[in-house]
This record gives sequence, structure tokens and C-alpha cells, in this order.
Amino acid sequence: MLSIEALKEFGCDADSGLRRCVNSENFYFKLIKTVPSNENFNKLYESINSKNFEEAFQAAHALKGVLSNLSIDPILKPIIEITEHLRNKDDIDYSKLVEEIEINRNKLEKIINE
Amino acid sequence: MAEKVNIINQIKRTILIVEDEFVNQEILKNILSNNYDVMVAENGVDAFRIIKSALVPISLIMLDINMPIMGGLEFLKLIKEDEQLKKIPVIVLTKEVDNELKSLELGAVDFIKKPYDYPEIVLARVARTIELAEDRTIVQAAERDNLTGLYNKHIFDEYARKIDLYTSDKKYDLCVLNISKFHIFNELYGREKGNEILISFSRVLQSCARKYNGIVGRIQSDYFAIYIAEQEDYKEFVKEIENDLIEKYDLGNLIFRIGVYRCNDKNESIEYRLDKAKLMCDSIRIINNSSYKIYDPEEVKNTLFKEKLEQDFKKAIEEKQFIVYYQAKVNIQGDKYKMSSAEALVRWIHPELGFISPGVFIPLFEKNGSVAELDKYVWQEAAYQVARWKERNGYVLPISVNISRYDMFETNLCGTLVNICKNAGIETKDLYLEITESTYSTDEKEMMKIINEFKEAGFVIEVDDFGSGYSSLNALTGLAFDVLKLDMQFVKKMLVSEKTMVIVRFVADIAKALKVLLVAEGAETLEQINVLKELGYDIVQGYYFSKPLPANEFEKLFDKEFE
Repeated sequence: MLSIEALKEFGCDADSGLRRCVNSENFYFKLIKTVPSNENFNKLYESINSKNFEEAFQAAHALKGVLSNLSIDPILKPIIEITEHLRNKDDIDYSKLVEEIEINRNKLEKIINE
Repeated sequence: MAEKVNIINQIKRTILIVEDEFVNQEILKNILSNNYDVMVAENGVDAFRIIKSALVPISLIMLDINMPIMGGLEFLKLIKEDEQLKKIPVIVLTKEVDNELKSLELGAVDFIKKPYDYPEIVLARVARTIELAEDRTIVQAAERDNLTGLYNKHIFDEYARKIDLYTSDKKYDLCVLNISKFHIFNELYGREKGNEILISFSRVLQSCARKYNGIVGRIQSDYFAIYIAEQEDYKEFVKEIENDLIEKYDLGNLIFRIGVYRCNDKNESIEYRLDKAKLMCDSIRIINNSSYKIYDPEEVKNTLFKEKLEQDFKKAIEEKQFIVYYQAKVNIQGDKYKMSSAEALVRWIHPELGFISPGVFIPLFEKNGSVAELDKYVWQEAAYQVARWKERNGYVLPISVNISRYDMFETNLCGTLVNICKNAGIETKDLYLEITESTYSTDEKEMMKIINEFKEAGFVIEVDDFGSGYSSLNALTGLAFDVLKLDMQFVKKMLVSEKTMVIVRFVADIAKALKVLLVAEGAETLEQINVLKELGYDIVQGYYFSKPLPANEFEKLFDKEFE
């Protein structure tokens, strides 16, 4: 079940996220629930696959903003790393970072749906 | 004012968030929506459309940088190029130093770092940004004239005083400029075009003022003020404005006038100097070219004096401040000289200014048209005087009154004079009408018609100031008149100028040939009288016999024997 404790257990800085939402839990949770389905995840993966680093950077950058505002640190961490590589248009193997993002996105989805 | 400020403070401002990410939009909305109305755009294009169609003014834009379709930096550049939109303050939402710098360079007033760790700080910065922007707008609105963007009168005054303060060793001129007959532009082309002209004129003045290290303000509808370092003359200045008007705005037909007040004492208030410069500006009445006039205290004194006389005219008539004086006309052709008539001459005994010469007020009233009313007043006074003296003496002493060329345009002039005689109980033959020679040449045909009417009504007609004008002698042949009155300048000079004497003799021959009575005025000596008598002049008027006198003093002349 989605709760502050569950988020903290997952590794989120829920207190900071909550503060940004003016301490409204309902509002915070409402926004958290939109994260797993954020279109930018798919856009990021597709752009990386097609080596469109510019597009991939835009998607990563947008996700970074959302995740940092909500303090979903387990996903934010690999997103920050991937964003910096993409900013430099590094042609590297992104699969490990993508996998880490996907694992944590699934975990978050599970917390939300439990 | 306080009430107005309260109302302004109570109004909920509108903020536009330009952000493509739903979560970020929502977080900001959540922070702001208690205090502000919030609108959201997902990219620059969307934002531009919202601002343009918004029914309420947008007080602040909170702008994300990375957005699809049109990003934040491109949008920022676009609105800062728009005269209206560039006034809206923009806070950039970013997490990157590079973007902070770029956005500040493009005109953003502040930035807020993502994520929004402290909502209360976001709120405070938003409030402060809006407050600063509104203060700046209020200050500008209070300083500037809405239409032209020039300083308003109050601020012009302030800055001119500041210039005085920092340039105590330098002399400055205060100029007031006015577009001549501006109301006609408004009438002909409409107010909108009139406003365009005012704006163009303002821009020219601003660029000229800048060139001369001065300041410029709009002080009243089509009146402008410039404060610049003293200029020897303003020919070059006028020329520069004219050239700019032609070259930049195709306004070669715009005529303006400049009143200049030179400041010798910086203790004089700017308001005082503005008044003086405006007075000078307004004193430039009929102009065909742009011109300037520098304040001259003597001239202003004279202008104010004349204005006072004009203002006091009505009251003077009502209170009978105009006193009719009479000067004797003496017949010199008998053994004994005998007073045959008198001329009525007006004087003004002003309650504050004392005796005022007709040489001062008559030209003034001729100019403003009051002379017709004054003449009528004199005719009435003279007619009643004829009646009073007839009763006193048992015989009539005719009195001559002047008919000016301005009277000639009065409708039913002859009827008016006939009624005056009737009301006073005298006959028309007892009132002589002196008509200046130059009047005859104004509209010969019309004048002849009016003079014939006078003749038919029984009035005696005298041609006054004969020889002073330039009318053709031929005109005399067609005119009905009874008396020829030689201009006084001839009598004054005849004994010292051979040529003048020839003319005096010549006029006597004309009168004899035309069989009209001949009068000479201006005689001051016995020698002049004797010459005039010898030449055949019938009547003489002049200081030799008597100066013009008020009625009660004149009465003493009835018993006097003239020699």
C-alpha cells in the first residue's frame, strides 16, 4: 500500500517530496501514482535504442525534474547518471542503467498497486 | 490613494506556468494556487497564445527551459522583443547553471531551482518579483506621460531642479514649445492622427534635448518643455527640429513656437520659469514659420498691461470711466475769432492706472473689435452734451465725433446715429461725423453708399486727417462731404518745410474749388494761425486756442473771446 513508510523503505526521501507538496500526503501520492506511466520512460528507451541522444536527453531531463521534485531517489539516481551521459552524447552501453531504472519503476508500481 | 492601494493589493494576480511536465505543473500549482490564479501552458507556443488571448493581465511567467515545440529560451527571446509582453516579469525554472545565465541575459528577472525544496521560498520570490515589477510600472506611470512617454510636468520639474543642483555654475534656459494650431490637425484628421503627431513631435524633441544635454517633458496637451544649457539664440535649435520633423516623420507642415526663459537666478522655481516661458510662447500669435521668442520683462509688462486694459473695458464702459473731452474749433475768417464747433475726444481715467492716453487704448480696441462699442459710447455722450449746452446757451454748438473704419462694418450704422440724435433731442445736423481719409479707400463703393446715407439723414461729413493717407485725390470727386480737415502734421511742419507749405496751400485750393469748408488742426502758434488765415483756412483747431477739456472746463470757453 502506498504510504510514506513504504516510500521511505523503497529508498525515497519522502519527507522532502512531501514538503514540496506543501505536506499534503494525498497530493503527494496522487503525483507519485503518475510516475510509472510517465511517457518519457518509453521515449527514453526508444531514443537510446535508435541512438537519438538528443531526444533521449530531453526525455531523461524531463524525468529528472519529476523524480527530483517527488524525491523518488531509487529511480532518480540512475536517471541523473544517464542524463549526464546523454548530455555529452556518450555512445555507451546504457542497458545496465536502463535495467536499474526499470527494476525500480516496477518496484514503485508494485508499492502503488499493493 | 490609500484606498486605491488597498484595492490593488486585494486583486488576485494571475501567474502563467509554462512547463510540459504534469507533475512539475501540479507541484507549482499547489504551491501558488492559494494566493494566485494559475494558468498553465505546455510549451512556448501554447504560452504565447494564452498570453495574447488572456482576459486578465499576466503578472508573472514561470518558465521551464526544456520543453517540446518551443523551449523556454526561445520563448523568452520572443516575448522580450514584444513591446507589451516584455513588461511581464519571467522567473526561469531550472536546475542548470548554464540556463540560469542564459535566461538572465535574455531578460529573465530571477530563477528558481528545481526541485522546489522550499515552497515558502518559491512563494516569497514570486511575491517579491511581482511587487518589484508592479512598483517599477507604477513609478514609470507616475513619471511618464501616457501618450508620449516623456516626463510629465511634475517629474520634469523635479529633474530640472536636480540639474540646477548639480550644475550651479552653468546657466540653463527653460523652453516651452507648442504646436501651432494643433486643434486644426485634430479637427481635420481625427484624434488618432493628432496623437500620432504628438508622439512624433515628442520623439524629435527627445532626440534634440539629448543632443543638447537637456531634458524634455509634456506639460499640457500640445505644450512641451525643454530644459537645456543656455543658447545664444535658438535659430539652430529650431532648424534641427524642423529638419528632423521633415526627414523622420514627413511633418514639414508642422509649425511650432518656442518661448524661452533665461534663468539668471536659480532660486526661481521651475514652475515660475515655466509660466514665463509659456507666456512668451503664447505671445507669438500669428506665425507662418516656426519661431522662438526670448523672455523680455519689459515686453511682458507691456503685454500684461494691455491685457488688463482689454479685460477692464466692459467695466469701464459700465462705470463711465471713459470721459469725453472737447476741443474747440475756432472760425478765423471773421474780424473776431469765434468758436464754431468742437471735437469730442475720448480719455480713460482708470481707477487703478490713472489717466490713459487714447494712443494706448484705441489701437488695442481697434484690434480686438471693442472700438465700435467705445465709439458708440462717445457718440451718445457727445449727443447729450450738444443737448445740454443748447439748453445752457440757447444756441447749438455742433460737436464732431469720429467714425472709424471699424464702425463702418456695423449693420445699420446710420440708423444707430439717427437714433442717438433722436434720443438726445438734437438734430442730425448738430452732430458732425469725422471720417478718416484712409476709411474711404477701404471699400470705396460701400463707403460711398454709407456716407450718402449719412448725408441724406442730415449729418455734416468731415474728411479727417486729410493728406495723411494714400488715397487718390480722384476719390474726393465722387464723395459727398462738407468739410476737409488737414492732417495736423502739415500745420506743424509748414513753417519749416517749403514742400509742406506747398501742400498746405494746395489743399486750400482744392477746398475752395470743391466749395467745402476747410479745417486745419494742430495749430499751436499765432504765426501758424495767421498763415492759415491768409491761405483761406476757415476753421482752426489746436492748442493755440485750447487743449481738449472735460465738459465742465470747456464751458468756460463759451464766454471767452479768441484772439
